[in-house]
Amino acid sequence: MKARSLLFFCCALAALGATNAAAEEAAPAGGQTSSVDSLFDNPIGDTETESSDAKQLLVPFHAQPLSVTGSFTSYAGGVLGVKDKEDDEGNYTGGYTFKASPGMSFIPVMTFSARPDETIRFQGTASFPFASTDAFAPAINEMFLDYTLQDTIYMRMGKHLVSWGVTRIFGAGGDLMSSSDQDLNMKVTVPVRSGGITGELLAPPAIMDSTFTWKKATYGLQTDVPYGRSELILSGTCYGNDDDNRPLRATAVFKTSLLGVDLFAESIAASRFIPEENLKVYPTLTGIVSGFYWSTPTPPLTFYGEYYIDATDTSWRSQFTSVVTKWDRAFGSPLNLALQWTHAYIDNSGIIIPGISTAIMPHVNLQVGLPCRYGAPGSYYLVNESPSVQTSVVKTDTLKWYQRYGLLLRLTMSASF
Amino acid sequence: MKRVGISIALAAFALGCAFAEPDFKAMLKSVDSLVSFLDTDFSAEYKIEQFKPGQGTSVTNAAIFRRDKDAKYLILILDPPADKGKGYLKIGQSMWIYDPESRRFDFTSSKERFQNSNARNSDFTRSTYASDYDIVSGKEEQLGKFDCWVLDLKANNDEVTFPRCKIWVSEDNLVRKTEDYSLSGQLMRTRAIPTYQKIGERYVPVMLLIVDNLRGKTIGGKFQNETTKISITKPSLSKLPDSIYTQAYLEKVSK
Repeated sequence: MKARSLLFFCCALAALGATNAAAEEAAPAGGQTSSVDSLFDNPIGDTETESSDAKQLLVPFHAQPLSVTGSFTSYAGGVLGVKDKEDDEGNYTGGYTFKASPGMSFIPVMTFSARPDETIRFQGTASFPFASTDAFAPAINEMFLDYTLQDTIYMRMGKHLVSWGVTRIFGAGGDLMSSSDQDLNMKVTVPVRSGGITGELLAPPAIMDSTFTWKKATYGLQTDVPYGRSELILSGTCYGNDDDNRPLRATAVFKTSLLGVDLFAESIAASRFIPEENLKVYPTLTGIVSGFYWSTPTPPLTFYGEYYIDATDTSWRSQFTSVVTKWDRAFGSPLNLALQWTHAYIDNSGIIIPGISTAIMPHVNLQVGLPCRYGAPGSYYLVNESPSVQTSVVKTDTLKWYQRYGLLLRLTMSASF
Repeated sequence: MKRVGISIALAAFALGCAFAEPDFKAMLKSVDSLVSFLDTDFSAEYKIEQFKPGQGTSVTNAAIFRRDKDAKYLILILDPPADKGKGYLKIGQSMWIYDPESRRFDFTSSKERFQNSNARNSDFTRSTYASDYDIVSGKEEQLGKFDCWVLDLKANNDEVTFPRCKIWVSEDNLVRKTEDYSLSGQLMRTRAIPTYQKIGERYVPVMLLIVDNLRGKTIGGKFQNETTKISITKPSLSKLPDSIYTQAYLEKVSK
């Protein structure tokens, strides 16, 4: 019943958006046809021109002196809600209590980039986060060198982020390179027709250490086969480990576009090692995610959703859905509306997070969220977090579902330079 | 008497020729060939000025690289700085948009709007009127200083962005104006190309104005349509490396 209500709400929101857009856009018949026709009354005559050097257009991308850019983002805010009373060991002691978690952070980020010529590029990004909860820990996010060999082999060496998954909500293990930001990487891509083959080598930072062996490195291979409006991506990874029990993972992704809606399905398989039996089980299906993504510029609406089956649960009952809808500048106002609804079918629990954000001053944005959890005591989403928004509050078995709400407040100041 | 008869017959023949409809299919083929680059690559810089009533004008500069014979193109955003390195890659029927921030390639469609403007991604590909449309009717009409044939066209497949359109073709077989319609006959947008630039044996618009006939806003009691003005400069017929039309290249040149 609640699910139906939410679906109705989403549809109503979309319909409202469409209605509002229609009201803004309704054009009288004829439009500006007459003013268009006036362009032909006395046009400049057709001209003749010489062919220019096409490579000049690529200069901004092929040769670039050292440039340094930066940005900073500062957060301040907190979460207010209720939580079951627990002792130091996390055991429920009866009743509930209010919980507030204030916090703030200031994160400057510096990026440098240089392209001496069209075959080579250096790029690096470093962040210097000051947070109320952590010690000051500057970090190099990326530092890599691109090298192009004969315009046919593309190499990227150094520390860089690699993303192989296609999901937006449920990670589910499809991003086989999720640890890439911890390692030194080398990526080699060879375009083949409209697709390509990519090889990855991820070595832990201890590569210079005398204890390093290549068993500790992670190897990945991905092939990308587009066909018409569809694309098949197959990837496999052998993860580094100290011994021979190296985990294997593989994914198969199918993407397509239908009537402007992106559709995808991703299946994940992984090997398992059973130490008691010294047995390695070769990749078996561990998860399936399917989803859609659709956005429209006017009105600026975005819908996306995913359906995830956790195939490690042999009963196949661990199934989840999450749907997100966003409407920027709703009704032509400065408010951005968003709603995320996540549901676990195994016990019909879930989290609903409606939110509003708006710019209150130049560079300053205010976000307000009202997370609410539903489900029977001890159910999945009364214990676990939403896949993309950490609320950490309203985790309570004590209250009724309509009392399990919290308040998220966040002020964000950001600017680039 | 015999001479008078011959003269009348010749005059009638000449008059018939003068009013005979041209071969419209051949005209469409000529229209396509004059603005398509099947024997060379084509590249240029496009300045796209998007006017939204009440919101002002935003400008996007892009470098466009086309290889029409293989149905490929690459569009790289040069400006604004926030979008620099963002790119569109089309290979055959597949089309991707690359976001350098998320480092993701996402599918997009030729029918989609380009950078939230009134231009569609299909506006940057080769012209395919002759193969994608059937001619419903044709008539002569004056468009400003141009003597034009107005052809009413209906799509023969559902791959095209607009199922119906009307095109104004001047005597030199160049399209000067188009009206694009939905299947129900709703006028969606109007395009005007008052001036072309000749490069080699082919033609490229100097300026293309697109009026969105559905979108706009009433300002001061008067309805104003959204418009997009595209100015094309630095056209080139230079051969480009094959590697330009690949995802790897797009990833390499992005920020």
